[in-house]
Order: sequence, then C-alpha cells, then structure tokens
Amino acid sequence: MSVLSIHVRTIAVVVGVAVALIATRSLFAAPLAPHERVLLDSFGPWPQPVPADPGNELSGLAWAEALGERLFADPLLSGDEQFSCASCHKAELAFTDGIPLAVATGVHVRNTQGLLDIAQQRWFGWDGGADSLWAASLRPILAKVELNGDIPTVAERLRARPEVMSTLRQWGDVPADDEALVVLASKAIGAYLRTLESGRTPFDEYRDAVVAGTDSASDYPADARRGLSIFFGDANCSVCHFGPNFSNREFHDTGRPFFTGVGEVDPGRYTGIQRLRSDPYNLLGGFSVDVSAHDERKTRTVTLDQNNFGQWRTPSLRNLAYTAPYTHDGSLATLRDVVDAYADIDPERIHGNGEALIRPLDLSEQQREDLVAFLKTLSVESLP
Amino acid sequence: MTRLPFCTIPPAALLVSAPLFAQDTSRLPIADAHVHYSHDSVEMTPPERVIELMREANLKLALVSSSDDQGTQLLTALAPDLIVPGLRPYSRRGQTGSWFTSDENLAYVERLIATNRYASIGEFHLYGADADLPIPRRIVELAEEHNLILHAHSDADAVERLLAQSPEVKVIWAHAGFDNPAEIAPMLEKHDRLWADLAFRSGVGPGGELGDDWKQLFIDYPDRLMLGTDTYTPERMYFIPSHAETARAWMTSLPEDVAEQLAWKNAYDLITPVWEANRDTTLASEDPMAALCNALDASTTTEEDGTTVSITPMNELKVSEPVSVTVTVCGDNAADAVVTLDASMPAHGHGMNYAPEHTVTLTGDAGQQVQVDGLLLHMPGNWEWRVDIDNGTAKISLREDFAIQ
Repeated sequence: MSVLSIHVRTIAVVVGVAVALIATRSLFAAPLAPHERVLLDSFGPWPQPVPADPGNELSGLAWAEALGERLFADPLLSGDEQFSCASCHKAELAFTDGIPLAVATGVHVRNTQGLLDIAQQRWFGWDGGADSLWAASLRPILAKVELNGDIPTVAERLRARPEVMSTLRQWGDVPADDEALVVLASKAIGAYLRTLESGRTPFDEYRDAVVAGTDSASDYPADARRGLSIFFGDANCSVCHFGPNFSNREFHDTGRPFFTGVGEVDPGRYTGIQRLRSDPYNLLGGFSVDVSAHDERKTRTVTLDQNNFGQWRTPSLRNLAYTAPYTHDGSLATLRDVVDAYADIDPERIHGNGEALIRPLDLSEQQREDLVAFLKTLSVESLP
Repeated sequence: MTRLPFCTIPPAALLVSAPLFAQDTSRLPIADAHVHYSHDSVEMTPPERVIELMREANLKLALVSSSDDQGTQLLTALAPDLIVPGLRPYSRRGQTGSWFTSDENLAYVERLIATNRYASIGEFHLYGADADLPIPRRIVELAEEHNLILHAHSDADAVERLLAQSPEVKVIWAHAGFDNPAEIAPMLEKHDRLWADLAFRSGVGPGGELGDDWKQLFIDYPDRLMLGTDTYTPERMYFIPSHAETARAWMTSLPEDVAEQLAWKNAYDLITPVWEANRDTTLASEDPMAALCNALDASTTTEEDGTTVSITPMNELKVSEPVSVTVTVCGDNAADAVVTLDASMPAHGHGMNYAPEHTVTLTGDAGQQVQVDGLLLHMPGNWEWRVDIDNGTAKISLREDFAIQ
C-alpha cells in the first residue's frame, strides 16, 4: 500500500474543551473552570428520553409493560419454577443481587447487572450479547445457568395462565407457535424493563445549577466537587463513563482479570459478539418486528476483533451506591475498591495497543475518598 | 486529376437555388475558420440569416467565436451540421487588450467551459511575452484539459510561447500573424502543431491573382493553412459569401488537391475530430459530481496526486451516537475507486467497534460521493479519519484529525 504524505487538518467540533484537567490538591474545591462547565453540560440533563426497545412491537404499550412486570417476577419462566428474573434482579438493590456472582439454577461467572436505566444502553449484558431488551430477557430464560427454561415448557405454562393469555390477546391472536409465544412474552418483559428509570441525583442538581450559572449557591459537597475534577480530569474516567448515563454504551478492557477458574476464561465482548451473531433473536432475525435500519445497523456492522477479548460493557455509574459488588465478576466489593483498582492498576494488564488513557494514578488518600464521594452523588437518595 | 468547377453564379441566385442544409456539390466547399457573431452582430442580423449567408457561401464548416458567446450558441443550435463553436474569451467587445490580465475574463472562460461544448478557445489577441502571463498559461491548461484548439491572433513570438507551454496543444495562427509567407513558412516548418488561417489577408489573391510566394507556401504546406472571413464587424457577416467566392477565384491557380485542402479539408480535418470528440463529452454543468468537485472547499484534505476529500457534516458528530457522514472524493483516481472511511483514536490504539456501511450516492468522472452509515465514535477525545481510495492499481490513504467532546 502506498501511503502518500498527508496534509493534516484538525477540526475542533467543540472548541475550547480540554479533556485533561488538573486535579486540585486542595481540601477546598476550586471553582470550576470554563471548560469543566462545558464538559459537565454534556452529562445531563436527567432524566433522558427513553428510546424504544428495538424490534419490539410491544415497546411502549402500558398493558405489555404491566404484563412484563408480572412475568419478570414469575417463576413460570424457569425450568424448575424456582427462579424468576427478580430472583437476581432485586428492585431494592437497583435490580442487582448484592453478591459477587449470580446464583440461580447454577452459579454464574458474572455479576448481576443493575437494570435501572437499562434502556439507555445500546447492548445488553456485560458482553453485549443481546441487541434488544427483549432478546436480553429471553436469553436468561433459556440459559442453563440462569432460569434453565425451554421453549415448549415455558409456552405451555404461559398458555395455562388465563390472565396472561387474555392480556396478550390485546395485541391480537396469541401465537400458536410456541417459540413465537415465548418471544412475545419476552417482548413484554422488554417493554417493562424499558420503564425502569431512575430519578434525579445530587449530581444532577449540581450539574443543572452549573449549567444555569447558579452553582455558587449549590450545596453540592466539597469533597464530591473535588472528586468530580479528578473524574473529569487526570483520572480520565469521563472518557468512557460519558454522557448523562455515565456510559458510552461500548466495551473496554480496563485490566480486570477474567479467569473464571483454572483453565477457563470469560472472554467478555469477544464471545458476546459471537453470540449476538448466532442469536436467532437478534435484530436481524425473523422475530424482530418493525426494526428500523438505524437500529439493526449496529448488529450488522459490529466488528469482531481480538481487542474484544476481555472487554466489558461500560456500566452506568448511576445508583452505584446500591449495586455493590462491582465489575463483571463482582470482585471489587466497594466503591473505594473500584477507585483503588483504577488508581493502582498494573500497567502490564493494559496492552501497549490498548486504552492508553488508563494508567496508574498517583492519587492521595484524600483524592481517592473524594472520588468515592463524587461517585456516591450519582445515586438517588433512596430507591422507590 | 479532375478540377472541381468553380461557381460563377451570382450569390443572390445561389440563395434561391441552393437547397437548404444540403451541400452544394457544384462549387468548392469552404471551411471558414474565422467567424465572429458578436452581440452587436446578433442585434443586426438574425441567426437564421447568418446561416443563410453561410449556406449561400457553400460553407462546409464555420468555426465561430463571439463576444459574448450567445451568438455562437445561437448559430450552433440552428445549424449543428455547419457550425463549430469556439470559445472567445471576451464577454463584450473592447477586451482584446485587457483579457489576458483579467480574472473576470478567465472566470468567464471557465464558466463557459463548464456550461457549453467547444472545439477551440479563441480567437484571442496576445502578443510577445504576454503569452507567458498567468491567465494565458491557464488558458493553455484549459485547452489541454478540455481538448481545445487555441486560436491565436498573435505574433510569432507569442505563438511559440503558447506552443512551448504544452506538448499537446494545437494552435491556429489567426491571420498567420499578418506575416508574409517567408515568415510563416519557417513557423509551420518548426511547429507541427501549428496551423494558420488567412482571414483578413487582403494580400492573398488580390483581384483573383495569387502571388507566387503564397502559392508556394500553400504547395509546400498543403495541409496546414485554411481560410477565414473574420466577421469582426456586424456588417461583415454579409461578406461571408463574397469571401468564399473570392477565395475560390484565386484558388484556381492552385493544384486542385491543394486548393481542396486549403478550401476546406485542412480546417475540416483539424477541427472536426476535435469537435466530434468534445461534442460527446459530459459537461461539468451536466455532471453533478463534477459540479460538486468544482465547488469543494479548498481547505479540505488534498493529496499530492490532487485527490481531494471532504467529510460532512462534522458539526453533528456526537460521542457514542450512531452518525452518518458524506464523503466526497475528487480526483483522477477517485472515480472508479472503492472508497472506505474509518476512524480511530491513535492515542488509544483503537478504532471504532463497528464497520460502517458505505453507499455510493453519486459518481462521475470527477470523483464520487459516498454515504457512510453506522459510524460510532464511542469516546470523547482526539480521533482520526482515514479515507482509503483504492482504484485497483493504486491505493492511497488520507488521514485527517478531528476531536469530539
């Protein structure tokens, strides 16, 4: 290939914004710099509009959402009728389970992810193996280690529930085909998951005050303010935990181990993409209804690359206070552990061609606590 | 050798007897390589009447250039079998001494080239070292780019300067520089891309008698000279038949084949192939891709081979939101190439997580436009576009930095 000399031109889409900020070492939070204010603006407002569940004809229908909520908590979906979605996704824990690795019909190799604001994501699951909420709902029903259901059994149980069948008839004829019926039930659950929105947090109040120019009167804690500057500054957290939901909705290798035992690994996004491609319930499949070209494009164009090996979806940081333990394998028990893991990261864990923005941080004890204080302000005061 | 009978019928009678749009085989056809039908002439003589005059003169071909160009276009539309349009670089009369330093005149020429088809640029007035000024140089470039003959009212010095600027361009030396045969001959001998017209040369065949020097010139260079009326005033349109008739008279002293060459074949053989080739080309004005490339922002990335790339809209890029952009690639290597756009974060050592979809939305000789869907720039910071242009024999890559926050 002949690569000729190139004239390079830089286009500044947003002028005047610098990513690197200088973390203050003062115990008192310094006033936000103008570029910090611009950056902060991009982390709101909150709440955000909730996108429809792609390929889901029941998305947005109140009756379907109500049915989905019932099915979410109904053990009829599991093989032995002992577990439901809610067994692991507990509402009082922001739809997590509080333990490192999920336990249902088997012990999972991954931590249960929270479901609040899940519709803001592009991919679902730590590995993004599902491209819609309904596909993400169907997968655990059929997974041996989760609900261990099967299509004929679940369909039979659904047909035996008059209230479920009568509700589904609001849509039209209930499918005679078992697989289509179970998919429809999954779409009802997907419609319900889309409604799981979280409320405003102290951070949101502060952000809005900054944007409105009234932050001088804000009672946002000083330690959180200092932590915010680290988050947006030297620590580079905001590069991946970007936007109002504190997630860029993509996947990264942050140096976390992913052995699941001796001789076994969980490759994360790498297998997620493979699973996505072979999933008959993806947005390119026949069960996807009214899916827009815009929505299905992500599934058609996503690339599988060796960089995906060991990548995990960037989780939202909202409501972290309720979702411990943390990371894909639940191996970090507290927020302070998470901060320490990043601050003291082993650079050998990051490939030379990897995310160059992740590096050991020379953070003081105070700065670490400030970061934790900031992260806590991303949670609602209490869960409903 | 059979000599063609020269006409002795008065022009007025010819007008009545000659069938319209049919060549009169009874008289030697004439190719008139020097006709103007400028704005004041258009006002005084309808184009239909001009064509009548040309038919009356039994013209086989007329190379017409006018100030402004409207007259040329009127005649071309009216008699495409007869008229070959030339592009005169003057929008009005009175620009003969200023056009070669006027950006307006150059812009006028470039606009007309993009709008209409021609066989030549000229007749223009240019002398000596002025031929090496930037605008005449650009005119030569345009002639080369668009397969146009130069029609130069010039001295020998300017003619040689024009020829030196391009290894391809052909020149019709108007009025043969008002030089005498002894001066014209060495120019023709020296430059095989030079032809000469005899317009407004009253010294050629006065009273129907051809001087020996001219006769020898025509014999020595039988395929290089041609006739022309030079209708430089409105009234002179009416001289076309008389000019033709007069020429037929003095050409009787030439060998028949030489006369035939001079009367029409030389001009015809030079001009017709050029015109036929140009007549079938796609104009920039008819080619949206060419128009797009012509209008492309000059600040976009430009490769050494002239390849130019534009990526729009840049102001709608958002972090981690699927976006579509349009990539416009212009250049000789771009038209039939496979164009792909990718993006990466060099400092992070990674690209996007998606292979965007490419749809060619517009193509043309000038390049192509490609819509790229499914771009997802999943992190804020410094990114780099990479545009690969692969035409099967050569592949070039262009990079451009940008930042999103």
